[in-house]
Amino acid sequence: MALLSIKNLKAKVNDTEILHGINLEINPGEVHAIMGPNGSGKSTLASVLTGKPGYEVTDGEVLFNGKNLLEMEPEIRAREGLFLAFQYPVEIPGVSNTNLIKTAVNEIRKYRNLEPLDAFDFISMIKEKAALVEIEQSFLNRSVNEGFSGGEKKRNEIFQMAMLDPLLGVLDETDSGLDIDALRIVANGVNKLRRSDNAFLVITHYQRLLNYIVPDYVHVLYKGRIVRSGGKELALELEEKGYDWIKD
Amino acid sequence: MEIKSKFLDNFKSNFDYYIKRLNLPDELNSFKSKAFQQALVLGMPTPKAEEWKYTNLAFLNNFDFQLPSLSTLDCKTVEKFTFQELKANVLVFNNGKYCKEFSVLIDDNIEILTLSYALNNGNLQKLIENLELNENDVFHCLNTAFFEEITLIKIKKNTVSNYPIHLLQIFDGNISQTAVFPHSIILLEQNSQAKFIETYQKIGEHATFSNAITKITVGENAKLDFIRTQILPDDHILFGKTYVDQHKYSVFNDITITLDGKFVRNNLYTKFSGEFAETHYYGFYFADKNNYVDNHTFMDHSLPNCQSNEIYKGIISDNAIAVFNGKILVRPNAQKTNAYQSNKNILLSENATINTKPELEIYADDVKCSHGATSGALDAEQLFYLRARGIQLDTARNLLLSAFGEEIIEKIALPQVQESLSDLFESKLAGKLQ
Repeated sequence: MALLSIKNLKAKVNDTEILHGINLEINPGEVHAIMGPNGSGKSTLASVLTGKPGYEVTDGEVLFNGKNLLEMEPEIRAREGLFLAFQYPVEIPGVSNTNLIKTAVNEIRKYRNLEPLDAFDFISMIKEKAALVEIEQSFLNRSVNEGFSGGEKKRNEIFQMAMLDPLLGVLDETDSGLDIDALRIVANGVNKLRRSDNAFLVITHYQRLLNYIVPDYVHVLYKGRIVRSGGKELALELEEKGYDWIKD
Repeated sequence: MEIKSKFLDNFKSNFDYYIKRLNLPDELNSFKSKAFQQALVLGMPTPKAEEWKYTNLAFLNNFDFQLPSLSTLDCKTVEKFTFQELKANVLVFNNGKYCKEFSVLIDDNIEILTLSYALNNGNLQKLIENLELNENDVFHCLNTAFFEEITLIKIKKNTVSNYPIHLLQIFDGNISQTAVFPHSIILLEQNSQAKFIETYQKIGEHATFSNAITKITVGENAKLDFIRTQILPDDHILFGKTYVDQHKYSVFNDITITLDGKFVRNNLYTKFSGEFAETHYYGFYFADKNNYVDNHTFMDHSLPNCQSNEIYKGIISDNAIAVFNGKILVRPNAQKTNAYQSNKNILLSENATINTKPELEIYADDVKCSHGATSGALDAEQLFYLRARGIQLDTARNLLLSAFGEEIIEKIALPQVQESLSDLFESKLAGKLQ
């Protein structure tokens, strides 16, 4: 069974239809990349999948692990194992990273009928996952993303993803605003999380990230439709020929 | 012109008798008479007055307030109202009157002088030389007319109070509906330091009303923290004015936390008598039910090189009304002033109201001043971010609101007090989000 199955998904924002019928299947163990020019609907797809308010699905269905994803509240989607690494992580003054992640981990565990993590297990888990994206302990006591550099914000997203251990991680333009070192750290973090029972959907404008996170499949989104799909070589072809190539 | 007010009329019939009972020197009596006459001339303010634009005081006419008479306070009650874990100098006031028998002084750098003591011991002048009449302010006039006691609390020069000074204001409504007019003077002499915390409690079944004046002088190079925690029952009406006079190099930190109270009006003024002084005003109010919380602040920069920093935050829910009116005046002479003000509000219900009015008047050209005010619902982006991490909507709201209020509560440099307020805030929050 596919982990994520999107069928004929149409969605609109402010009465304008952005997605005109998306079809996509992702199986456990796979990494899919969605590429496309600005305004093609990449981020809209990420928002619709995670249930961001303000997006209206007008047609189609999305099954996640066999369940109707679109009926779920955003927090339920997360608890079912969907994770979005935000393109623009929000700053939350006064709420520490640790507090956020502890609350999230325990609410998800509660949903899965597990006991809350005890303090010792939690701390050792944090240490392990923070090391994945080269995050220092002091960073965890700071307010969520407040005053973080672009690179720190993206590393924090991957850190959170590591802590929540999702079935499907959606990375929305995680490479934007990253220098090459930060890009490598972030990509390494993601690669270490890859397993046969989880999957990733990497949304990006540029091919650059895909040198580090090598996808099994590449899809090109254009004007709200997937206009081409292929293997990782499709990304290179796009890089070479530019998006004008697929517009014809 | 005399505006009819049942509230004022009620005092009118009591005034002469009250003055006779207090048995004060003629000098003070005539001052009080003058104050009361002026109060009658001014009448009660209506929303037409700028200072009372958002306030309807007509509800005061529904009461039949008497002036304080006998005290029903006992030791056990006082004990109940002190902080369990906090070692402090405790100064107990019942209906505005200092109760030496219930008070405990640990530090020896604190000196207390009351009007009642001074009357019998000849140093009255020290207490009344600074009395002044604010002829435009009916509440000031009423306090002057009706205070029964003046309490001067002095921190001696070149000393630091090791323990905080807890001003425990108890309002006694056991005998009748009672109006209380506390009047205190706090004087930090040069190079001294102290932390004050004022709390308010009520006993008895009848409604009480308090209209307090606190005059604070922070001497040269002295440092004062003043914390007010207002958690009042529905049947106490609180008006309080605090006037602060800061001398050279002094630091004054004011923290006003209002977590409950049917009607609360705080007025806070700072003026500078010396350069290089520094002022911080922090406020947090959580107004719910049909409550009304009003904070008026006035930072009067009349001298150069002073700094002021003001952050007030509020959560307003149910049908509550909150007012923030913060004025910063930078007079022509006050060059190199650095003044900052911010007021942020979160409204939790459609019927909740916030009236926020920052006022900046700047007459000097070499200054740094900024202000900002926001009001609205919780940030939708932040909420979604938390939910996208698997956190339930209510928990997410709780996290955000808690962080919002804690930013101010955390400023309280007394861990026990901070913790107890924090707990109270969190439990109140939990109740709202159910």
